[in-house]
Amino acid sequence: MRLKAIELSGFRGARESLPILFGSGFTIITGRNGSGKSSICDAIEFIFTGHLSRFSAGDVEGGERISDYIWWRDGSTAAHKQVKAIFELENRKTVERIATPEGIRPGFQDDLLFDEKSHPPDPLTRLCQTAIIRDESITRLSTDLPEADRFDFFYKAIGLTDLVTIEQRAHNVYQKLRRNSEDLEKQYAIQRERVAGIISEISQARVTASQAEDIDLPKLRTRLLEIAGLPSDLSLGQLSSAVQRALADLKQRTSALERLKIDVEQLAKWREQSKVLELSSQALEEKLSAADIAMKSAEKGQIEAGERLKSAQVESPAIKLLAQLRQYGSLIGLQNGHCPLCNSVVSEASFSAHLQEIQQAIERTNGTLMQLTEADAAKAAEYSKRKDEFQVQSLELSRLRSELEAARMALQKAEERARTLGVTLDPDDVAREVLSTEKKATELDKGLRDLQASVALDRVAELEKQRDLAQRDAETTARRIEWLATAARNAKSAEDTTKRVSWEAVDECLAALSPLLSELYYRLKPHSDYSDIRYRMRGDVKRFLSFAVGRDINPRFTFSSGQRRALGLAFLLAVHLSRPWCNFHTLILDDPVQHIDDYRALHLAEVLSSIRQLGHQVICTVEDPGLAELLCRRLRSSTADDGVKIELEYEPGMGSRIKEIRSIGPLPERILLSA
Amino acid sequence: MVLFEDDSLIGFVCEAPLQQILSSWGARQDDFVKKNAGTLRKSSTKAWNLYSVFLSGDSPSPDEKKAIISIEEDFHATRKIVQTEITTLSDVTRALYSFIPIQNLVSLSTENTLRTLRARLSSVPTAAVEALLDQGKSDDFVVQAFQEAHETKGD
Repeated sequence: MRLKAIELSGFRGARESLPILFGSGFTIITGRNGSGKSSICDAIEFIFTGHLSRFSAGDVEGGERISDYIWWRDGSTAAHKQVKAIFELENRKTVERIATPEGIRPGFQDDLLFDEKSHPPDPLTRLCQTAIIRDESITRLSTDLPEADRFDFFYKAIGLTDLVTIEQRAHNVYQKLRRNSEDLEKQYAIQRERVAGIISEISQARVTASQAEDIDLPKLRTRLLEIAGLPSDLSLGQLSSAVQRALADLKQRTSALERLKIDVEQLAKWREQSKVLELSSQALEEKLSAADIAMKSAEKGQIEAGERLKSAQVESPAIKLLAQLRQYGSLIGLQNGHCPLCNSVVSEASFSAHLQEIQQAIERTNGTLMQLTEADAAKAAEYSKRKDEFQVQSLELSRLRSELEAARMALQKAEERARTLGVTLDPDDVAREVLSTEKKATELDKGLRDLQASVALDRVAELEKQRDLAQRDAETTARRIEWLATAARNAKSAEDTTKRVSWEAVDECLAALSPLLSELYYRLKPHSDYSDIRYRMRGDVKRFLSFAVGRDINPRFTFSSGQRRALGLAFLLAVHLSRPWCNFHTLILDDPVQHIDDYRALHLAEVLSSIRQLGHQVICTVEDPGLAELLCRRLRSSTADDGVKIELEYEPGMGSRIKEIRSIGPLPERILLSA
Repeated sequence: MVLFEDDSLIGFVCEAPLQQILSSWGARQDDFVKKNAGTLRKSSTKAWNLYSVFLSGDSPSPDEKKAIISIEEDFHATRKIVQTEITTLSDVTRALYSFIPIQNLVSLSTENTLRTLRARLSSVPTAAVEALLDQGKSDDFVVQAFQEAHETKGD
């Protein structure tokens, strides 16, 4: 299958309709920058996949993506927007495929393009990657690709991706089987634990059962019902539980009676103690009353003394001021026979006498104050003493009363316990009751053990059945675990085997491809010193594909950009020529000679000519008119497979249009022979 | 000297010692063009595709390599190809790569890989293997197939 024609309408640089009729042999498309050459290659890719791989889908600028620029914009509205491609089959029949903004209308089955059985996943993308060799991707998809991605590219290009899928699936299956196995192990552990538990119960039941001598079960039952006071319609199981409860009650009663016995022994003491406490309390109450009277009297005395003192103190500020006045008067003295305070005329003797009188008044007042203060302090002390006495006696009385209350409470409680237990506070009565209760408990206990022993025999048989079932379940689980372990091992083996087989397949494919790669490398002559190239494959979990020239020189780091492009072209052309699954044999090159000198451009032209000799269709865009002419001369046109040269130009406001189309016919044959 | 022609090119091949080639390539080229000038005029386009091919069994020194490169990069009149160390037929084939079809074509077939894989997995129950290789089945289905295949086998 090859490309016959393509028509761009409102697509990329083509505002109006841009029909391109391809030569069945080759087509050289030339034109200046921006004339629309790459738009044709874009259209060829778009018709297959619906997107343009040379732009990253995630590439966003100013909120816009490449998808906003697929179809013509810039204000003008194209008549209609679509890309229509016509393909020619080997039987010369044509089929078409149309892409519009709404989507792709395939027009024919995809199995015309690739082999249904052997194609890789996403075959149309692989087809475009290996048939359309673009300027931007020549080194990006080959020499400049990281070695892991290079391996991945090659792997997908030759259609071995199935093995990767199988390997991954085997890995997933292995992981899942392992997890299932772990879950079963846990289940098995629980089941084994259960088996062990049942076996332990059986052992205990057997021990209990061995204690069952010749027991008259009905008689035992009657006796137990009687002792425990239980209804007669109880089953054996219910009887056992009821007797256990009754036994517990009896033991509790025995403890309570023992405590009551102790209390009873204490009774006489409590009674005597109560009497003494009562007498003491009475005496102390009388003393307390007297202390209260004395305290109140002392309090009254203290209050009166305090009031007298207070009255005297009211006068003291005046005395203080008087003292100050006397002091200043002494200091200042008479002022020219005048009193410094009232300025009256007074003699020295009178002034001194007056000062003396003031001093004496102060001393009299102070003396009185002192006496009153002493009296107040004495009264306060008296009151404090009486108060302390009262408090001490009051505390003592409280203590006595508490003790008395405690003794009375103890007596009361003992009486209550005795009533509850149905006995009197007579020590003999209590002792008798203790003995009786203990006897009943002993009898019940023995009876219970005999009862349990009788039941234990049945229990053993039942437990043995449970044990057998539990063992069978555990055994089944153990067998499943073994199966799962084998299944997991085989899944792991499948994963490892698939990895190995895919490695071998890639290695064999690379080995098979190696002569072609070497030939194309030699033909393109990237480097004058290194005329041959080798590949290297390594890695186990992740795989890597690298190239080497000379003595293991990595061309990625030693070749110039032009040399890397030439090497990249050799690799991509080798892959293109070796795809077993692809029925589309057209090679499309978009400006492959960037950064390549004239010498190597000539080699490329020769390589393309050799590819044409295989009958492949070649479509090539170049900017340089001289190179375009060279390609037209070298790419071998024939009557069956003609060549076409198309020159494009960009018309402002209109977009890309065809400037010139020239048919390239075959060259004359046998010129030398006809000479 | 041997002349050759195909549907797009014309040329000559000659074999000589390297020193002779380096000294006389120009004369030989001019001689060829001159002798066939009339013929070449019949197709001016084909006349652009003239080849002068010089083969030698000698090994070039570094200076001779440099001289060879200069000759090959001279695009005047004919496209020159100078190949040295020609000792075998494959050397000759390589020397003529510029105008012969691609020689080492190969169709990379991956058909046998699944067959090989099946053969290598012969110790794994067949039902499990087939489930694994069936792209239309989910991982859970394959897990189930592995479990059942091994339980059956265990029985």
